[in-house]
Amino acid sequence: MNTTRTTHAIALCAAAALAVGLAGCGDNSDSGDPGGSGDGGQVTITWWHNVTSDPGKTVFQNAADRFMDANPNVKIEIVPIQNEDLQDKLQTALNGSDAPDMFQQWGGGEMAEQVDQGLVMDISADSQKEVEFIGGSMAPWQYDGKTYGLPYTAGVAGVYYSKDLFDQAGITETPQTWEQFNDVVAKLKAAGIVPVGLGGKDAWPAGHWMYIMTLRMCGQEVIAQDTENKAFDDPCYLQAAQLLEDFGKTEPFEEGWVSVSAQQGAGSSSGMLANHKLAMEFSGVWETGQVQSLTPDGQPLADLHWFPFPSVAGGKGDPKAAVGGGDGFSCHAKAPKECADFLRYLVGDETQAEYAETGAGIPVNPSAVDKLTTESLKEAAAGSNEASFLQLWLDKAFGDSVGETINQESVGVLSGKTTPEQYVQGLIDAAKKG
Amino acid sequence: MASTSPSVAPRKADALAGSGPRRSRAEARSRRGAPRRGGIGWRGRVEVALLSGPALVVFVTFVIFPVILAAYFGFFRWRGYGVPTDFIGFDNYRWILGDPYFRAALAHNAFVVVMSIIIQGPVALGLALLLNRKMRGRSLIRVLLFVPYVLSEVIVGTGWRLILQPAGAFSAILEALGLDKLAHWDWLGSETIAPWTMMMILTWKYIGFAVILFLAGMQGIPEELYEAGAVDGASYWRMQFSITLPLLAPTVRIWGFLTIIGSLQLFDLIYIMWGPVAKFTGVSTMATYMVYEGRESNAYGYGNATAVILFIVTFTCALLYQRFVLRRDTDGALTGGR
Repeated sequence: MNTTRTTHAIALCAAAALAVGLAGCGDNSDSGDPGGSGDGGQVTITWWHNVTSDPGKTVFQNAADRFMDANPNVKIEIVPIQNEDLQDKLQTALNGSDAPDMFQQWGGGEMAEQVDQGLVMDISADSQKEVEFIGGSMAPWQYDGKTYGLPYTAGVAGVYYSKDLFDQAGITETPQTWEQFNDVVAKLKAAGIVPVGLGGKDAWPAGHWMYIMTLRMCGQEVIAQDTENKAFDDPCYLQAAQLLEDFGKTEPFEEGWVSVSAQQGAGSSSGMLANHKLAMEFSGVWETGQVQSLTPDGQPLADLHWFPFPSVAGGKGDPKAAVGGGDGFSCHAKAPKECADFLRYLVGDETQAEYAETGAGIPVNPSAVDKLTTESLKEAAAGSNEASFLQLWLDKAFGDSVGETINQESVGVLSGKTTPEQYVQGLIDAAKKG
Repeated sequence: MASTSPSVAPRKADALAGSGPRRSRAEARSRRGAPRRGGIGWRGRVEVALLSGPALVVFVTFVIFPVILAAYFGFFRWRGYGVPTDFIGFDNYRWILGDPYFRAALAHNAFVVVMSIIIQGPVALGLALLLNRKMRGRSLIRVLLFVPYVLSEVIVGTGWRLILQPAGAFSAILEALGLDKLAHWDWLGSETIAPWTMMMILTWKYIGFAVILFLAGMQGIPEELYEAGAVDGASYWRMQFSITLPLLAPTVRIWGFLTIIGSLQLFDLIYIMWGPVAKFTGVSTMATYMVYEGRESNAYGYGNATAVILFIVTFTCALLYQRFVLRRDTDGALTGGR
């Protein structure tokens, strides 16, 4: 039936065998020019990204086409891979000898690990200009004072909502506090509208709720400490989980949300938002583009708007702080040096303007921000500017084992299957595993 | 080895054949019975080496070596990059065996093993008996029953997910039939319903395999026995109980073996249909636990330790089954080492 038991081991074994046997050959496409000194030579850059749907996919294709026209010696092979698959494949590929030259990079602890293993190219030298204009969002892609990647989009998570459905429920103002937020949920329910969408099957959407609640209750200082020592002994983690447990008991999510996926098809939570089947979703800056790809006509959802996550009473965190991050890319340490040029080209004025105009997401280049057309993106961009602090997604910040536990156990807490005490114990246990 | 008169040559031959004491006992037996042939000669050895060499290399590289490697990695705290260095002894194993989620996964595996045999066995037997009779459209039904087994598990999982998802096709059908209450059941997300949803899909998918296996077994039952039964005036059911079932038993036992191993390694369907929330819906298995706590968490040492436990559990079950259930089938079938 299946051979999963050994697949992983086989992959490792094969990787080990390849590493020994083929070390000299490496990746044919780039091994001829490891230092990247000869400008005249033909180079191929394989590029793995997770934007598998338009508008973003076309923006990337156009950018690669323009770059290849301007640099005839460069060939860019684009490989779009669905997000969850990409995360699996990348890890294996980076360990093996056929790693992509340029790949999705979310920064933080995971990137640090890759850097320590010598897998990522240091692009600090020629990137001062980009680092400067990207500003505060740049931090996750830097490590020990050096730059190892560039985000092409960044921003804070917030609540995306359908204005029409809010109007229908008689809601005129967006909520400022957690109490008001709960009132909005109650009003929507009373009007027969599903208040909140949550793609529980993918776990990380539930995790997002825990990240922001943890930030509200703990504040960024406690989180920063626990990123280092992973103690999780502050009672604020328990408080955050308790608040979400109570929130889950009010049944704010769509029916059967535990097994609903986040982004795949019209039955997913983003798909339901795109089709006016539910009123709001707490999500990152990709949401506008994601919703657009799931509307019946592929056009932006006209009444989609954005508001920042409300403040929560009794928390130590700054109510203006936000969780978020961005999507970016790194170049493999063995990639041709043109890879770094292309990385910078992606955050250049031209590509960023197109990225903003098509509504794919929030650009990192300030010159492109006023090119944004859709309301939700403009509001999210403004909100990102106003945020007092950008806390990187906690699953990325804490690293994988703890991060995965937060994501999964958030489903448990919100569905009442994990108690807040079990959740905190789960964090402590996960920290031991690696 | 010690039981026979020591001579150097046969020992060498044993060592070359590489199968240890078991073989030597067999040879001892054959030596007692008939005069022993003098080795297989160099031609024979070259032949053996040529024929078994490639298979042996592949087997050792892709089965034995990975198992050893997994056991090695299982002793480390290792995030998957570079060479593992953080040796932690049996800690991974302690954590896994103490984790309620792993115990739950083990229990779910046991549930699948037992339910697969209880549900699929009788149903498949009935279908096989039915399809063993001459009737119109028999081959068509056989093919239709076998179709789900041929489909890839990923496609099956995706398809059933789309059908059973909240507000999916299945709910719509139930609603159209006026079964509003049933339409709002959470077929995938409820801890009490999801395991049965899973069993339903597994049965649908694997029943064809069991039926084909049983039918093949029935073809091997000599016609004369039924003729003799008919002459003695036995009824149809009497013949099924006294002739078909006893003679089909070896096939059923092999089917049971394959089902147990398959159930213990169940992964694809769960991964596709439930993903990380399998542990909240009562359908996680040891294999999904391994993938989510190991690979998805980048805790590769932990994942490898889980793989070793999964291997041991499956291997033990297989050995016990062979020892206590399959022995009567293999007993006369094995030739004494020749």
